[in-house]
Amino acid sequence: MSGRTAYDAIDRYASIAASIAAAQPSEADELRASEPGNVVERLHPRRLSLKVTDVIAETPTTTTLRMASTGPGLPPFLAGQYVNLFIELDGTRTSRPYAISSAPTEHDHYDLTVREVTRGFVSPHLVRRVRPGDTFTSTGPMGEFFHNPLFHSDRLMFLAGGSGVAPARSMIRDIADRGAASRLYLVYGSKVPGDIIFRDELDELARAHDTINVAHVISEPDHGWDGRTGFITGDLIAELAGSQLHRTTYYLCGPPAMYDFCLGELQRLGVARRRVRYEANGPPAAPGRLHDWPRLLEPATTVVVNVDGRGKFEAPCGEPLLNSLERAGYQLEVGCRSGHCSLCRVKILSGAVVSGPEARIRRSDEWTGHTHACTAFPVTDVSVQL
Amino acid sequence: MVGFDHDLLGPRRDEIGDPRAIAVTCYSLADPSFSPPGTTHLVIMDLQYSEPWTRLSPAEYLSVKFAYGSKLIDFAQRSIPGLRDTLAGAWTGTGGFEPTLTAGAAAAEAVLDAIGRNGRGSTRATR
Repeated sequence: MSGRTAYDAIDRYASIAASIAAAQPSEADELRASEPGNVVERLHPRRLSLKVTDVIAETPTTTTLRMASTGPGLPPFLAGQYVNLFIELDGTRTSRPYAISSAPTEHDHYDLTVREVTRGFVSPHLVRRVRPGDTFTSTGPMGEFFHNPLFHSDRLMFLAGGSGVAPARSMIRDIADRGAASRLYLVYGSKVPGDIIFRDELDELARAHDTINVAHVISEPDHGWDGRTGFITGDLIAELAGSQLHRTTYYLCGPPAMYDFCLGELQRLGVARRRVRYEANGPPAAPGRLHDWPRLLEPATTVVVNVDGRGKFEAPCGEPLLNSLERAGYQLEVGCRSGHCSLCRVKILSGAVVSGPEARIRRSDEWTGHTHACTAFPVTDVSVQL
Repeated sequence: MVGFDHDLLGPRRDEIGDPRAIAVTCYSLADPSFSPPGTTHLVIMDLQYSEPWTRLSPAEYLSVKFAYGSKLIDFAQRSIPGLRDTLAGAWTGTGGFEPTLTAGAAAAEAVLDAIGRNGRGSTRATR
């Protein structure tokens, strides 16, 4: 063959040379970079490569991980959105969604603020063992929990509990940074004063901006606390919202018990349901109390999950199917882990699953037997197709 | 559609501009269960060339998208007064999902290439 050189005698030279040539930017590549599909990829990348640049201890149980991109620049996001962070622990590859607590105006990093969940699987590792330099993969920013100017009011009240304050911090800093016309009242419930995350920063932002107010509510006050006590009640919401009660948009983010309580209080006040937004919050914590849960079935009961043509394993019926699949080594595309985004859709070939009310399953999925693995509990032996 | 005057009502190729013609679709009319009880579902659509949108920086994109979505609602309110005050949810998007957008843009460029719309035989030469 003409043109053959001594290099061709080197093992794999041709394939390496071809890959180097393919990696050279060309005029055609530059044109392709502005094609719509690539624009979409820049705005909504499927995966981000992140590196921890700083680990900030917020409270004894809460840590902020500051993440920078090791690849292209971080995509824009709307204050309130989250990324799903992938992690491998004890041989299990899983993920957890965390709200971005930094402002959208900070383009060089995302802050992820994580509170340790007692007996949690992932959060203790993130809070206690992550160090600067550690690397992670995440999804791009996702979620519908943000101020949507098309139909939300310019009066915002954020009802936060615990680490649910993370997206509120992003919204507040966004308003402060942009000098936006919106006004935000943060009503932030914590158990004890030492649990308040971002306390100094939030109070300082409230002092510095007329558009921002912060009220702390402590449910188990110590002797040194002279602020508000108890829970975020309807009376408190009405007092703080004043004449704007019925034209405010409310944002809820916190533990499940707080959702039930605060949604009830807002309903009692006659606040229109369309004015209340709440963040996805994981699978049901107590599946045995779900409406469709079979009577007498203990959530610890073991069932057999058969993954069509690929193997089978045993799992407790009270564990979300997604978690069981991950522990058994199966990987699914996944986003919110709360029943909303539908990325972890699987087909139930046989057997029965019960889903929580938060699972937004499309009617067409019901016709074809698909469900969202993150909020589905196998209440019998099941066969699934991934 | 019969007699659509593209110059008068069609999208601008050079800039995003304001909506000049919209189509409003209501699937709930055919199937009330398309949206939750007590609500209805509207799709407000207009045609856009993708090119002006691809020139936005990522940081600009979200605010421009919401601003344009707001203009679409204003436009629809000419026929549906008070629409904005009744909204329980609203979403803005380009083409619905990425494959549609990519396929649509590629097809449009191919057509424009074929008819030599910009006189050079290739729309890409204008970039």
